[in-house]
Amino acid sequence: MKLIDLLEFSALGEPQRPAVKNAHMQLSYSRLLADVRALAAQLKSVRCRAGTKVALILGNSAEYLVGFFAVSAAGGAILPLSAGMTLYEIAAFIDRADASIVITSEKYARRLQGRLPQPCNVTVISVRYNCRAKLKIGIGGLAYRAATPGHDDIALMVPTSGTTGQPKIVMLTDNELISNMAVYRLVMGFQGNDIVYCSIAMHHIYCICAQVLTHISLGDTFITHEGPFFIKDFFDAVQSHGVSVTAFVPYMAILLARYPCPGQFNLNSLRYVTLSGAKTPASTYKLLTDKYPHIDFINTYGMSEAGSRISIAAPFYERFPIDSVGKPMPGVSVRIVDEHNRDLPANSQGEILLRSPGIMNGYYKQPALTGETINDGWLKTGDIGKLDEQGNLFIIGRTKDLIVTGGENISPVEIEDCLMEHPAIRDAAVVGKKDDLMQEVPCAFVVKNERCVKCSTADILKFCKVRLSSHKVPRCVVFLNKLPRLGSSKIDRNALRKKADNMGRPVGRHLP
Amino acid sequence: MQTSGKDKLTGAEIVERLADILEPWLAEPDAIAVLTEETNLISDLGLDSVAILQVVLGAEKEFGISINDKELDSNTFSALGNFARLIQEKMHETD
Repeated sequence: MKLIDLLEFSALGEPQRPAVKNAHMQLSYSRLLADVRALAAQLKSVRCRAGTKVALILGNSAEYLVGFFAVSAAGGAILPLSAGMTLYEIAAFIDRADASIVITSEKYARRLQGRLPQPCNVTVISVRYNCRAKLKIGIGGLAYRAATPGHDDIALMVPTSGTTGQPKIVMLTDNELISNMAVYRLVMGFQGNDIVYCSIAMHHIYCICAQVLTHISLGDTFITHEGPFFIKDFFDAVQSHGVSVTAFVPYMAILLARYPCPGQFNLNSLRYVTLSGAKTPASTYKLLTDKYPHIDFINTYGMSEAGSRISIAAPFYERFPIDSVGKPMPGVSVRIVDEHNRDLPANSQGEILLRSPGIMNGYYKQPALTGETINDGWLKTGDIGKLDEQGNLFIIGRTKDLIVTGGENISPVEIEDCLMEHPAIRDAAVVGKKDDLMQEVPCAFVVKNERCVKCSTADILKFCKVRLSSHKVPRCVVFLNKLPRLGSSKIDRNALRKKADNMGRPVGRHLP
Repeated sequence: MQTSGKDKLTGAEIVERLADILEPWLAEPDAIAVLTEETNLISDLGLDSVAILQVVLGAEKEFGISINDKELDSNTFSALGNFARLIQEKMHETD
């Protein structure tokens, strides 16, 4: 079974049911499938076949759904990328993933045209629904890049942050994704007829599994929201479309919890809000359940390497501790181990390992890293957690130096590498600084070259903004004479974290 | 520079000052030259949640105002003129 089959079945069962609605248009399942087939035909005409990697840069849109399923229909592997990435980042992923085709918006296609470095010669396909909801497909920048052999069974390639700073790409097959989605859907108890508000990034594995695959397979209706997230837009959508389900990352949950006057909106249709991407603070969870008693807020835990979902605080007849992420899903085995890989008893903290049918095939072209991450069928998550006597899973921290901001994982090394390219910087370290809304924000500590005394914070931020997505741009830059180190070389990140946290908030208030 | 509430700025003047705040967050630096009151900050300039937050914070500091979460939605940023009007209203409130 392939991902496209999920859409085919829904279109066969409920052809006239709306598949996607947004401010400008509405598409039925039969129309969505017809447009997917039209785009798949175009993809095949530019030599898309099994093993071809196709980058999708489409934001949260109907066009994303068309591109996603068209690549599956044409037999290629989907490489979903954020439309917020800089050209440097896009080029790095296209190159790393050996992508030969890019599907994007007309506007982004113009931005890419002739500006990607030479090794990134790709065929650019633009897609856009016009004002009469007709799909316009354009093909430009024809540059045939031979598909790399192997990996013919890969359906999805998900970029993920690593501690080395080099982009890692998780490979998942149709079977891994569909088996994970099927169990998730079962545990959640979804039965169809839901209206799904889609504001978390559609290129994320969380959205791909918990929303795209789950709700397309159920024939549900998507309300896609593009652009920054505002609670008022969400409330308007619930009121006007009867939204019943959505998925949030913690900062969205925090905004929802503290919205001053939700009583002005009719939110009766909203039944479920799933929470993932990072841990939603228990205080926020309590506020949410007090303020919105008719809504079920469901903590879930997942990661790209696990084919997405690992545990869910569902089904709803069971009560879960509010700071847990529920129980591992059926078919997912979880172990908590010490540094010597020995199992720990209940309530002891250790690294979370897991085994499930959804575990990734591996990292693209990184067999050594794959071997380090998956050992004897057990995936090392890099997260620290514990299981209680009832089998509830708690996430406590992580073993890796990742920064988690607004549900996005960032590698500090990637930002450090960027800073080190600045001619005035001799040494750099980036840590996560605690933040009420975004959990953490990147904070940079830099050492200037003696000869470059004139380099300012603004110069550094401008330099970063061109090269890094905005959530990776440091929120504060601190100049030091030298970085604190443990022994001879390793940066003392704990010392820097303390320093960053003691500096006060980088911004005066918090918004989306 | 902070502006006292007594200064009455026109929409066009506010847009001009906003250009400086917007500049570091533009995906296309050239876009700064063609800013108008109709420019959509999200679809034309490609600002995401993080960038919007920084622009709002920058505007609060620049114009000496405070903007509440419930006053912001996509419509506020669908035209630079809308955002400028919100700033104008806030400046009058602080008079």
